[in-house]
Amino acid sequence: MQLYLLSLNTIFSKKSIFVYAAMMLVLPLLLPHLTPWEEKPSLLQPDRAQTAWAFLWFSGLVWLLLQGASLGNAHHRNGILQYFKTTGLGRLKQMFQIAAGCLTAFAIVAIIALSISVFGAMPGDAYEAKHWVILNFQYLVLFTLVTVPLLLLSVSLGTRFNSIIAYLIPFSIGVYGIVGITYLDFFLADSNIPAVDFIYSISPHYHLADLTERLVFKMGSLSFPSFSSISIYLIGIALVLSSTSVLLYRENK
Amino acid sequence: MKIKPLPQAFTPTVSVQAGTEIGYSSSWTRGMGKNLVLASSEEKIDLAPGYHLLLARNGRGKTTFLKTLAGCITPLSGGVKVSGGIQYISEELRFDPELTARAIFRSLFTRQARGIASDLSAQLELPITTIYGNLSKGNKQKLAIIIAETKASVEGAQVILLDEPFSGIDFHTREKIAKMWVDSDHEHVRIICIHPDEQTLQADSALTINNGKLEWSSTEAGVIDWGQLKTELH
Repeated sequence: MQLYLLSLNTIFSKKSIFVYAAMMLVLPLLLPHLTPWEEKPSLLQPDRAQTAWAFLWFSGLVWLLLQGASLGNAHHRNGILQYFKTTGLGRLKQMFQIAAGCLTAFAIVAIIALSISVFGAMPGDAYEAKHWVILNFQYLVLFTLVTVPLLLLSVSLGTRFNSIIAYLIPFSIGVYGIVGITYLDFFLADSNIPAVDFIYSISPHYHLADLTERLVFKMGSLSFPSFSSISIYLIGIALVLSSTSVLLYRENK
Repeated sequence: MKIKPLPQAFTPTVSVQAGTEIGYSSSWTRGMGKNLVLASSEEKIDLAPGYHLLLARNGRGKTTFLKTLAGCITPLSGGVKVSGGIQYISEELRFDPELTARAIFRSLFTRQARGIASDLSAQLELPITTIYGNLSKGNKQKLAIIIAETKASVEGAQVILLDEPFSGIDFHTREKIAKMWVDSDHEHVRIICIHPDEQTLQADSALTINNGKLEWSSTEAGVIDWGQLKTELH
């Protein structure tokens, strides 16, 4: 718990999380009003949910991974990890405690996003509303399955490389998995190159965790088989990334 | 200034086997198959609870020896055995510049332990509301010592390895801390690596690294004639 609290206090001392929290409060309320919403006022609420989730992805890939990378790097450089190692705190616990510190602070932003999406954009119809709530929680689970392993990787890389490298690698994996892979998919449609096909199949398909479209078009919650198969797929990637992170993690200076 | 440890039946010890070599093992990136031996111990060394000084010139392996005891480095041959909780406080241990000493204590200690840390801070004149980045080098070192001593006081039976804890600390505070260690209940093994200015030093024993040999000698009446000893170190 000591490294967790030290990481959390370090994050709070920087105060940047409060800026993100304030932006999360303001942007979903403000940005939809900058669109020509008067033409179709019913789009205002889904737009609010879309903005909240889009900003949560942005915060996750920018703020969260940057915190992980910089904390991993700073704790290692400052000899804190080495100190905790000598007191008997193993690498696995160290890595999870740093990540937990980042996630605890990030939970503020995530809770605001979820609250705005659930309570600020819930459909009036009871059946749709039930699906809306379930879909939001499914979205949060999938979002967590994507971001937590990337966070562990950023912490781990921070203990080995400088914080820019430690940030850019998981950030690139995340952006590639969410956005880049859809371009690869588009390219694959017109070509039949086995190498590209292979790259596509081994790529992390994080876009499966992006349920924004389902929210905006009110397509209802994912069926249990779909949700569990996506979850299992993401857990598989999470295990690969987490194992890599454990191997790369370094306590000694 | 005395730290009241919790009652513990366990006695911490440090044991270095005869023939133990400390240093760095080579890898394919360095030296092709040769180990870098910094020091070796010809005789078995057993350290009981007390205040032990580690004395040697620069680059002779003091930090490597402490890291070996802490389990950060594996000895090249022989072995070391440390019984008890270990704390290795590196000279380079640093905290986030935005954190105050109070916030660091809040992160590391329970309420009871924070009381001990605050008392020690008051005695050593460490400003606990100043952010770490604004603390002088000496005050940063005081903070590291206070963390080690508080943890030892709460958990008991510790092997505390301090690497250059006095760098930047004024003479007055150094004397205070050294007296605290000498006067303490001898519940912990303290191995302190220092470059002293004084002619005589108070300690239970001295470990020296001289000409690549790690040697141990107990002191007469707890006093080391550093003026004489330093002329013998190579």
